[in-house]
Amino acid sequence: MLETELLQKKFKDQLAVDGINFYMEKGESIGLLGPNGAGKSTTISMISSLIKPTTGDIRLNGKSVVKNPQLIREVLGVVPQEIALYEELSAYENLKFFGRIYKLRGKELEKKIHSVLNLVGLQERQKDLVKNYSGGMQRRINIAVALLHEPEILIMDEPTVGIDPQSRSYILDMVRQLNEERGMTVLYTSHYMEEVEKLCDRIYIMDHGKIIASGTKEELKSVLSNEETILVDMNPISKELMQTLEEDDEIIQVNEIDKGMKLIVPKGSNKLTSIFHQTEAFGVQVTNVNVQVPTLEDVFLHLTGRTLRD
Amino acid sequence: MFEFLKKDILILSRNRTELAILITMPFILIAILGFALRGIWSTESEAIDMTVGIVSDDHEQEGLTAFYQEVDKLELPQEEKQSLKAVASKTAPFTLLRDMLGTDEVSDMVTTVEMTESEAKQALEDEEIAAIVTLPANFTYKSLLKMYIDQGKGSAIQLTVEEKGSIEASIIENLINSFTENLNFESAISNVTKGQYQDSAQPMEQLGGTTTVLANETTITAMQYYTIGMAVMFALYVASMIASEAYVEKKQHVFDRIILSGKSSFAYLTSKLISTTSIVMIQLFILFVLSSIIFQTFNQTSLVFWLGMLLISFLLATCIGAFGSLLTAITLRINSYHINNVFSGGITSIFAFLGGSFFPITQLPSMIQVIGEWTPNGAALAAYVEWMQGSAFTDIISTLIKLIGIAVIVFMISMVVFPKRRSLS
Repeated sequence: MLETELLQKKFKDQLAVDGINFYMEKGESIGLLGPNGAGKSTTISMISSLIKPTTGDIRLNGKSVVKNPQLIREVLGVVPQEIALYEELSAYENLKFFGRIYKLRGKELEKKIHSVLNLVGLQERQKDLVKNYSGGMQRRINIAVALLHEPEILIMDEPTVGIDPQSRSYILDMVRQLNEERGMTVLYTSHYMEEVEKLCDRIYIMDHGKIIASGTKEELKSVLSNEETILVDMNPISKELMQTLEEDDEIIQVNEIDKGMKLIVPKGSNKLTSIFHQTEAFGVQVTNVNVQVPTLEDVFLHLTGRTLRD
Repeated sequence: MFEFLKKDILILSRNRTELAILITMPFILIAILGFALRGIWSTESEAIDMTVGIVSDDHEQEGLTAFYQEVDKLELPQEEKQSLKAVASKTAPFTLLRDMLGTDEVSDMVTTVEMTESEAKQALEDEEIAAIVTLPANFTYKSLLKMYIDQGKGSAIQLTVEEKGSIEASIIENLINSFTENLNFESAISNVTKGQYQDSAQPMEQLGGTTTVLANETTITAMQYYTIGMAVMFALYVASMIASEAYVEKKQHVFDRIILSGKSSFAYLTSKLISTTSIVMIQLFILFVLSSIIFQTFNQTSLVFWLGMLLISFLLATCIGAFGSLLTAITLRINSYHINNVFSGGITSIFAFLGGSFFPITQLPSMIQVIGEWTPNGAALAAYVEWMQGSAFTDIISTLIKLIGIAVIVFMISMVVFPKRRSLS
């Protein structure tokens, strides 16, 4: 349905997106993962025709979007990371304004406003000014505006940033419903790995303007199929200890986490005994140990050397 | 385009600060300037309406007869005597004074009532009249004798006022002085020419000062002037206000949403033109109506008058709409709202000064006047003033064309400056 070919964007001397290839089939839900500055937003802006690629092409059903941006605009709904609404207008007035610029009129417009307000659960508060909404409610109206003209493709750029767990859960359920029940094609970017794991059929991982990995969740996790993750909570957190463990050839990766460290080691390598010896030698008390199969977060960490929120 | 206009009006109506700038502030300034500077607007002839009592102890016909007798005693050829009598009969001072006070120009301001001395004193005390002009006994005889034969001391007109130095007293004093000086001047000529006195059928036309004031044009009041002056000045703020809104739209990515809906950048720019134009029209309407209701600024009921005002307002609004588009284009081009601060904080004040919003630009050097006439507010102010003074449509058409020209040029520049779609983000 939608594909990019060697898509590249340069801002003066800085290469923001470096020749990415990417595709989406109709009805798919695609996750685009990457830390800040990876090039996700630039990629989304190019796909949605807001900025022109320096080189490369974007094709919708085989036709170039770069040459004819109107092709994608007719079928696209974009939920930007920012609250792209008029704060001095009510939810209803915002929806009416954006509906009218999408050439919706009269009863059809009223019907669609009613429909999206129901979908985002804000029917009762539709007359309130947007500036008086909570962050979660503003995010929901932000999504409602993008859905008003019933797009075939929905691009969501971090739609759950900075909101409460309840609103976040509501939005995730809504996106899943749109994808599964209405067959809407979704491109979803997030810092939250669990959101992408929950919603997306396939995932692209971006870093430094490039796609460094892609595939289904299972395919990505298979990158670390021969490894296991050991989470060690310790007191105090000792950087010297971690440096020493990093020098161990059998330990693939050591990263500091909230309460201690995360180690990736070959499956069945029995490194626990060695780790306990080292902690004792450094006078560090181990408070908890957890051995688990690698998650997508681990894959990301493995591929980029940093966490998603870095 | 209507959806953009509706949205802009809704947002504006909920912004108290902007409303205060666009409506409340100009209205307060109209009130302050209109009342405070009322006194220095000497052209406000409609503010002067006084009654003057004329007390005459003179008998003109008897005076003339007595003068003829004196002429007969002179050792002059009979022909010259007849000529002198003829001139004197046409220039009898009381008749001339009555004629002067009865001219259209003077009678618009001064109503004369002939009364007895006691009636006049009572009327002056009761403030029913502003002054008493007293012609003493033998005024005609003594005046003619002094004027044409240079005998005796002449006769003086006595002026009695209730309050020395008041505007009314000054005006009547000025009128009488001018009249007297004029008579003295003519009699001096008569003496020089020794009877070859030229027949002066319209001696009063030389009565200086007032002639200028009482031209054929309808004069406008300070309140009217400052209603227009402040309205055209504060209308300029709409342009920067709309452009600032465009900056917020871009910053909050609402602009992206508009572009993604398929609206072209030209349509977006045109929407800014229409919104600015419409809001300026609404602003001018509110200011003119409020000023008319509260200060009785515009009492005209003629449809033609209001159609003219509507046309000038529309062209001014369109011109400011074009400036709104230009500021929007620059704001999006440089990705900064500072240009709007410069416009509202500096350029508007300069335009207002050059355009005559604070005082008429006729008091400024001609070079500055020319520049002022090319500002949208200055051109519109000139058109409004001319129209309110009763000028014909043909007299203001060049100014209206100027407004159209400014609007077209500024909007074209804004299209050139406006960033192309792909370089917006």
